[in-house]
Amino acid sequence: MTTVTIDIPPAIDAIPAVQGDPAAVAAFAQDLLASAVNLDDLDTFALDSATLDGWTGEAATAYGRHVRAAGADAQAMGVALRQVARAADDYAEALTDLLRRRTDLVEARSSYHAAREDLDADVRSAGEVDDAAVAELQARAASLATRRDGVVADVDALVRDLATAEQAMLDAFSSYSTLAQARAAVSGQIDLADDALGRPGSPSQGGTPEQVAAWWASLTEEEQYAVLAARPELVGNTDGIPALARDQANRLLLETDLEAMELREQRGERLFEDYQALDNARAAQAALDEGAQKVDPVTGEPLVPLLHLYDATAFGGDGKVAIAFGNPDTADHVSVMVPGLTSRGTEAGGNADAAYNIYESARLSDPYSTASSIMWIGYDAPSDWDSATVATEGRAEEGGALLSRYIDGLRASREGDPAHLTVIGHSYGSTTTAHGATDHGLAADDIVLVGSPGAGGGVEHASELGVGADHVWAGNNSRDLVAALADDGWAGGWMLGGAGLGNDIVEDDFGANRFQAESTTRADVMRNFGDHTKYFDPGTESLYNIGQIVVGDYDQVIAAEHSYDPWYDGPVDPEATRDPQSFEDRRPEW
Amino acid sequence: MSDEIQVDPYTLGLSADDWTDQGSRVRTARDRVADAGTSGFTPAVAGAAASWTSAWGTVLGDVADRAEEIGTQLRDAQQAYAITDVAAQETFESWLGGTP
Repeated sequence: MTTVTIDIPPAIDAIPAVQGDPAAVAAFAQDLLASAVNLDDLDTFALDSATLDGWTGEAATAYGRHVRAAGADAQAMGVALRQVARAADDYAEALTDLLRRRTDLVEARSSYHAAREDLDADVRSAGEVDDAAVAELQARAASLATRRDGVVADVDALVRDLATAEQAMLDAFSSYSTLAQARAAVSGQIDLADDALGRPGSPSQGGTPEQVAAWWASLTEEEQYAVLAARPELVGNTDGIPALARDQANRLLLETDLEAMELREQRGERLFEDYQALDNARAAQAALDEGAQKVDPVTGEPLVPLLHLYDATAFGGDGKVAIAFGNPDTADHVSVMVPGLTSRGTEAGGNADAAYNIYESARLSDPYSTASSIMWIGYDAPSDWDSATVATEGRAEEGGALLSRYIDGLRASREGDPAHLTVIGHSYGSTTTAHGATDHGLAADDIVLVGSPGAGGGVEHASELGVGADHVWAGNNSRDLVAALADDGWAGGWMLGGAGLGNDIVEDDFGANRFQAESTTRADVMRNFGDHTKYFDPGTESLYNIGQIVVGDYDQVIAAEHSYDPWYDGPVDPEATRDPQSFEDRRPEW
Repeated sequence: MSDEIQVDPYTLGLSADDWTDQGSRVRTARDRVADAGTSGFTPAVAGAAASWTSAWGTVLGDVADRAEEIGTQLRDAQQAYAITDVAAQETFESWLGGTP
């Protein structure tokens, strides 16, 4: 009998712990970046106010000298905070990777030990075996040794990479531990943000969305970081900048706005513009907080809403805000909902709910593809004191130009293939959308108009919107009071002092695809305002059909009969007598 | 001494308010940095992070003080100009014996 030795490789030591919390470190970086924004503001303010109109003399000169020095220090400190914030972001990213790798190694070690025990048991129970069995045991031992070597090497790399990440973070802290170091760091250096913004195509140089996208892509990460911290209002609100960068910049702005305005409120020192701006900022924050509670209806994963546009003081205090569910730069299907009358910053919450409902409907309509749904309050919609402007198309014309540029920006910042993009205009927003299409060549694939008082005076047919009449979708319901303002033949809102904004979009002559948009909760009485606000409500025909359009499942859209206008009578809407259906409890359409 | 002295006290007052506001904003930045959580760092880094936030909290507090002090000094200057103007007026009126 021959004795054969099988060398079973040894056990693997416990995997070293990787402590730390990447999310907490990312929050630390965000705090520093928000503080850098404050310092950059101080720098800009100091330089702008180093000379005061109507003040000259020795005292003014001394003041200017002192203030410029204060501005220079603020700039140096802003740079220091930014650099440490960036290092912390890198560290958080490294930590995420290290924690993932450690989890994998713990599993690999466990699996190795299980295989090792199996081999040990098989060797012990082998007894007298033939050469083939011995060879098989030896091969398993050799394979185990190779696996062990791999795990041990990965552990070594884990420890080494952790030390590298920690050292980089420590270096950042020590490089900017004092104001003197910060001053030295910027002395004689070009300002990265100013330098980047001075290049062709930048927002400061009036770049088009396509040029802005190319400019942003041409910047180094460090330059992007510098511009984001120094000019968050530009990064957050310039069309063509990627959505994630816009979100980060706008959240910084929102945070610093809220802090400053709430501080002034506490001190009883509110500025005139604070009164509306604070309400707008609080509404944006509340909408983001509420949006973060929502989940993807297919995966169940929590959603992170993106603040794609934010300016609390825009449009004389009405404010701008856009919130996206899903990333518009990567989603297969992107929709932009343009609200109408009463849309202003304080209405962020309700409109974000509508955007989420559209997102949910799109995902359920096609769970295989990804979606992004945006609510866009980026134009000066009639609201409050200026609501009377709803009767004219001026705001819609101006809004159409802004909307068209916004859509160009979404196209330009895309990664990879173009998205299938749908613009959904509601109420006065439908007129704005139509103006974007007829006046500015809106770069949409599909246009949905709901609760529409008209697509603009002079627009006779859906084909004039530029996407092809078969891609224009009309969803006015039969009870909607605002929709009734549109012109039907010789009758229309123009008879009420010009309240209508064009032809009836669901009339047969207009040539759009009419889809069912009645609600099971519609009022018994004809034409009321309540039914004007149900188009994005869960379970409605309208929301179901919008979801199908957004994902391009046109065959699934439930068509409705057009209204018509016989010469012998008033306008007739066949939808008025149809029983609406409910789409509650939808499931993903796999 | 400068050949030309010109002052608009109202502008000085407005700027003083702006500087006070800037000081408040930097003070919120100070609080944010000083209170920034460092528990997410690994033990090898957490100590340095805590020291750094403490040191920069002090630096930013000084900047906030400095900005607010500029506001205070501008208000003082505004007042000093007004006092000087009144004093000059009184000197003239005294010289002219109160006659217009």
